[in-house]
Amino acid sequence: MNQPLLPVTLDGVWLGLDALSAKEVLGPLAVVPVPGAPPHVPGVVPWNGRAIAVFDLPKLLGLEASAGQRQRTVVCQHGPALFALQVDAVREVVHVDDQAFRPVEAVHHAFALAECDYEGKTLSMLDLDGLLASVLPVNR
Amino acid sequence: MNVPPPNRQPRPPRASQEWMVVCGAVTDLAVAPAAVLEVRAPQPGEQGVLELSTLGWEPALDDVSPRVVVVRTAAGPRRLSVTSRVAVRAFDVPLCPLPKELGAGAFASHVLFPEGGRATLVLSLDVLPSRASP
Repeated sequence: MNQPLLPVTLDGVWLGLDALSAKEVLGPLAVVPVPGAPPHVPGVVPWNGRAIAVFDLPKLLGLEASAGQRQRTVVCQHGPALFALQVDAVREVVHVDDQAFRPVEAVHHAFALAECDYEGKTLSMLDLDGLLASVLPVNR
Repeated sequence: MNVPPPNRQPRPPRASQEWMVVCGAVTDLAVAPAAVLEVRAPQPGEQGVLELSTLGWEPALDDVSPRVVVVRTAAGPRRLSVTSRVAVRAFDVPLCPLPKELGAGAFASHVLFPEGGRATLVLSLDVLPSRASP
């Protein structure tokens, strides 16, 4: 068995998103701020004639965020949740053998399920279930 | 019967109507004209008016003209203070509901994305605080 992951980078940290949850990768999109929204949701972006929430990934992962606009927007659907994540870069989907994963050791951010080697770097598999459970009002 | 194809969610309806729009620095705000009872100049010393900027929304600063907009809500009339231009504008774009991930604190219910224009938030009048923050 292997796990299809979409490698993305955020301020030099490599994250693996479940590739089956990624619906589309777009360029930089201006986020429309919505006053009164929770701090981890800076706003919404238009997508296919709809408004979808953007999650502040650095804030959710406990990473120090750099200034400047992220160059890629990944639209994800995980279960019923449709949302966007803004990252610096996206690479081709990789299929990582289950045996290649090891417990989290080298990465230091929240919602890391496991880690593996990727092109000489450490790639952490993002726990989308855990992340969504922490942010979605319906899951609280 | 109009059934959407499998794996496709229905598109939102279009906002094919006129809206009363308050110009903002980043986003504009829209209210259905039917909910607007009055737009007037503020009265000297007028109190109990909700300043939209205290909710985190930024007014446009290129055309400062203070106004009080009286709107109809389920709890009765609310007076909103705005410091920028108020105009009636027609849109013909999807009326996009704001996603549930924004939680109950957001004071907008929908957003409009006019082509080449600023995104416009549709005020959710019934969740506005009843009075200005201290």
